[in-house]
Amino acid sequence: MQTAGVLAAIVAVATLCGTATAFAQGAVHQPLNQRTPPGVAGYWAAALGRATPLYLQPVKVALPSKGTVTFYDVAARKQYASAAPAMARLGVGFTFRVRIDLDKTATTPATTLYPSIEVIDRLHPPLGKADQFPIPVRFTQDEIDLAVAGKMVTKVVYLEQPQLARPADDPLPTATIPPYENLLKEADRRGRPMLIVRLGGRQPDSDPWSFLGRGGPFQVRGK
Amino acid sequence: MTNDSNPFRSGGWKQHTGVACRMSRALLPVLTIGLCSCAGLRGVDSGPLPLEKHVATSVSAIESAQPGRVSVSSPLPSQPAALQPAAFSHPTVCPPPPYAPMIQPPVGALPAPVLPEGNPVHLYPDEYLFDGGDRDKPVHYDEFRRLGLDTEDTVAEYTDHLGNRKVKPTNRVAVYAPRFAAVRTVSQSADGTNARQVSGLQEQARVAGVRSRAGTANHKGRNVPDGVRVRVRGSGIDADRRDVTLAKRTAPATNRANRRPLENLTLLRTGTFDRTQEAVLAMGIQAAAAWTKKTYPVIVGSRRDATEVSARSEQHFMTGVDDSHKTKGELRIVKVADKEIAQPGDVVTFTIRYDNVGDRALHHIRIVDNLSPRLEYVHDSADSDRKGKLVVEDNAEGSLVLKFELTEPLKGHTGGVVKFKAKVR
Repeated sequence: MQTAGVLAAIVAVATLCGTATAFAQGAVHQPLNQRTPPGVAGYWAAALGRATPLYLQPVKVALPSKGTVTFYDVAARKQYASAAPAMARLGVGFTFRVRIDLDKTATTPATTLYPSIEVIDRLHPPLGKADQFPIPVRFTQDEIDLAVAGKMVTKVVYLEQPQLARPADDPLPTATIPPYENLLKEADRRGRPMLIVRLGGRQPDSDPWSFLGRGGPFQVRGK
Repeated sequence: MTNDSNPFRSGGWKQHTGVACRMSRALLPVLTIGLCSCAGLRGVDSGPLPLEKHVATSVSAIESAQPGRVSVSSPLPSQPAALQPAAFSHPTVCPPPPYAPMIQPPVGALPAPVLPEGNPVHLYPDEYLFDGGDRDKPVHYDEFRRLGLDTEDTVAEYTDHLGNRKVKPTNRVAVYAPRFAAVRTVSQSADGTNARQVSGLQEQARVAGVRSRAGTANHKGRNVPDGVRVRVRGSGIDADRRDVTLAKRTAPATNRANRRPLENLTLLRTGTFDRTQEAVLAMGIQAAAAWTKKTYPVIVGSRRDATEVSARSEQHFMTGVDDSHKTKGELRIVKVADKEIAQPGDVVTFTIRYDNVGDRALHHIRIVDNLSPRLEYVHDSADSDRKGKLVVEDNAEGSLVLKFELTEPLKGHTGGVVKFKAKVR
């Protein structure tokens, strides 16, 4: 029995050491990933205190070419279209499905897609300067092509750490990681995740308003 | 049943167990493994457990007034019941869990958050661009190098009147300038397939990499400077590096304790002996004596004059200046920026004000600024109201290290200003 107790103690110590080592190496468990259903990360973020009922986070949506971005007020069954780049203030913790319409160009046809934007954090700018620092959401042409081809592009926009920022002038440097990696964990390792953007080729079915989800509080400039 | 009536002996819990419990304890792992398999359990709705069936039979034999209703009136069994397995199941082959429903609270139903109190600069530093101060490891020196100069650090190096080297960091300047990046994945749904159940555990192994919050580059080269960039302007930054020798000489009325360069002595330059330089020359002679060991310089001088000269020797006295009341030199350095917020592409002007708040002079003043990777120095934008030079080096982290070196000592209760511009990336 003493031998069994000693063996059990050795196993326990080894387990604890391994766990400590893992944590020392930064092995933080991220329960959310890109396959988490839309809305869960936002709800968790709101529960963690990142959402303020009276604060709406400005977000700017840019397209690779000329087009419009439409935001939907699902409760009131209204829609608000703005020319890209379009800016809106979105509630933190909510998921918004928007519509992007790209005009026809010499190389690409007119395209309509319905990406979703899930806001999971906010900035804290000086008073009155919030609109000068919107979170950028930029759709590139290759992402549009992938969505049209039936693939799913999941993107996490994060706030860079100034000490680790890249010395480049690219307004939104984007890196691609394999789909088996945890996107949220990687974004958290690089900085502070702010948005989850999902772009696919799915189109609304018979009831477009149910397709748009429940939405949340938002404001569109001038409306 | 207990073998020992005293429960407080060492290992008391063990001694409280009876034979039946010991046997059941040995059988428990076997029962657990067997009952935890899906083959053993036929699901919650597939029928009663064998033990439940046994209990129902014994109860129904006693009283069953109404179907579906069971009341127990028999006394408790004398023998302790065998341990029943725990009411959980761990099937090795389980149906996939149901898809988690999308959780979206109605508008306005979010929990009220607790807003943290404090300065936003300290609460959310990742939204700001810092320059100045001395973060992480403090700046320190070994025999040859300066260490601990991280990005964003700005320090002033100087030497006091006793020859002690000192370093002092500036304050930290914060400019609100958040910047974003993105990371994405591309996935594809598998059409024409229907996953019914997990056929087995699949484990994907790959080469593990080292993940760390390292910067863009870990290598920090502290080699010779890449180049010396100077600018000739009337403001003070001098491109010339000529040694300026003293062109003006003053002969002291009395011997003083201060020293003068020996090359300025009249004797060494023109061969004429000046009585007022006797003391200094004596010192130089003694120094020369120490260097030459055996031979001493012999000075011969003669004067020929037609008239009679009478010389009167006066008692020489050494004079000194009592400066014990003077405080030692102390550098005060402050850094400011001309903007509180900045967008990528904006140019921010940083101003560094330094002052000697003590009485004694400070020497070899050098202001070192290691710019953040998000700041790009605007060439030829440095300015100073005192003479000095600017040395620019690469910091191996995507930006530059600026070194403002003042060529003149800073007297007590005097100061100066250094400015430069940087573009926000």
